[in-house]
Amino acid sequence: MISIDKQNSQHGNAGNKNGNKGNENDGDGSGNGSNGNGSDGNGNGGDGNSGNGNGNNGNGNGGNGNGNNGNGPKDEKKVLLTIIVSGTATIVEANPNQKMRIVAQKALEQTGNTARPLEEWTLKTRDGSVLEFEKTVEHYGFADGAQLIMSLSAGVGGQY
Amino acid sequence: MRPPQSGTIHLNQSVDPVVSETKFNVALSDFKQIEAINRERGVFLIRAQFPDIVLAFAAARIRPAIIVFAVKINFTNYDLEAPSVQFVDPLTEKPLKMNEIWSYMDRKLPTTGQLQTIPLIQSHAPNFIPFLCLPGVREYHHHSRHSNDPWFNHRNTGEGTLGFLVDQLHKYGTNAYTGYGPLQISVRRPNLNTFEVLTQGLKFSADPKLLHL
Repeated sequence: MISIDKQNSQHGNAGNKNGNKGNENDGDGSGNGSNGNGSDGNGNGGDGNSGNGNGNNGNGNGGNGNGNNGNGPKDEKKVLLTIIVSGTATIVEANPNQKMRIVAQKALEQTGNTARPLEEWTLKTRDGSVLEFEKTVEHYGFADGAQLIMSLSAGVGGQY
Repeated sequence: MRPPQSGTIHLNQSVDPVVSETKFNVALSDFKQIEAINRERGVFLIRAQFPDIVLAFAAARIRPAIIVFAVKINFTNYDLEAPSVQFVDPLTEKPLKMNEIWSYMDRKLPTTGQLQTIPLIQSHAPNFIPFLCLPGVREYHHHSRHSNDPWFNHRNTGEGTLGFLVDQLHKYGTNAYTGYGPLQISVRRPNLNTFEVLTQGLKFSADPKLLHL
């Protein structure tokens, strides 16, 4: 899998810690890598290979906790979102667990709009509903090809 | 100090025209790539030929859809200079005066309690030509009241691009409109058995929840 943001890296770290814990428990399944590969930050969660606790994968091998959450198969299918940033379209590959903040930041970077902070941008659906940066992709249930619009807040005006 | 002037700022091309035209073509290409989305929100391309792009803005929430205003966006000397936004008649492209404008692009003020707005379209004596009073617009930066806020403070920050202008014109100009009615109604009773109702002008009504800061 290809890492697309820092959030996966954070998940990776968490997986590593849990992996170590699993090892201490002799691989009894209580120490699951929660969601990622701590060694390289790649989101490695939900490989769907087991519903069992997988302490063996979290054996403290340098952060290689296998992102198996022990809750059975989980669909981690990434979605491709088309985000129109100030009129320029770009495609962002997004993990369902990612916050919209990460997705939006990626869209800004891909379109070269890094001069203004994310807080000065608004992310909306095509029908105009404002999306919250702290909610996840999964929360909004976006399917592949969903189109979103980002617009920059205007500066102070209206007072010639 | 020269008195404030409102209205369109016309310039001669002094930047290498290849540079401005190339940037114009990139902006136009981006617009056309999402033309369906723009049309869905009421933004239509009427004409594009360097240095001008003429766009119409319809109130997409109203049926039948009504063109609220049209603008001619001029990219002369872009992007050494910010683009100009001129309000024009959508059918003839004739420049409009303030009393020929139907939307003043109301922007919500960050106040508590009662809703207050400020019009982003401004004009004043002596010519009362409407202009978009917003950073990223040539008329704003050339206005003597904004001599302390030059275009170079905003260039390459995302403001003053075609996409930015389309977003703002849509957001403040048409997006909040959900209905319309006559600006004035007068009732006359010429005799005991007859009423005459006369209407004049047009006024759009906005959903307060859709107004933006």
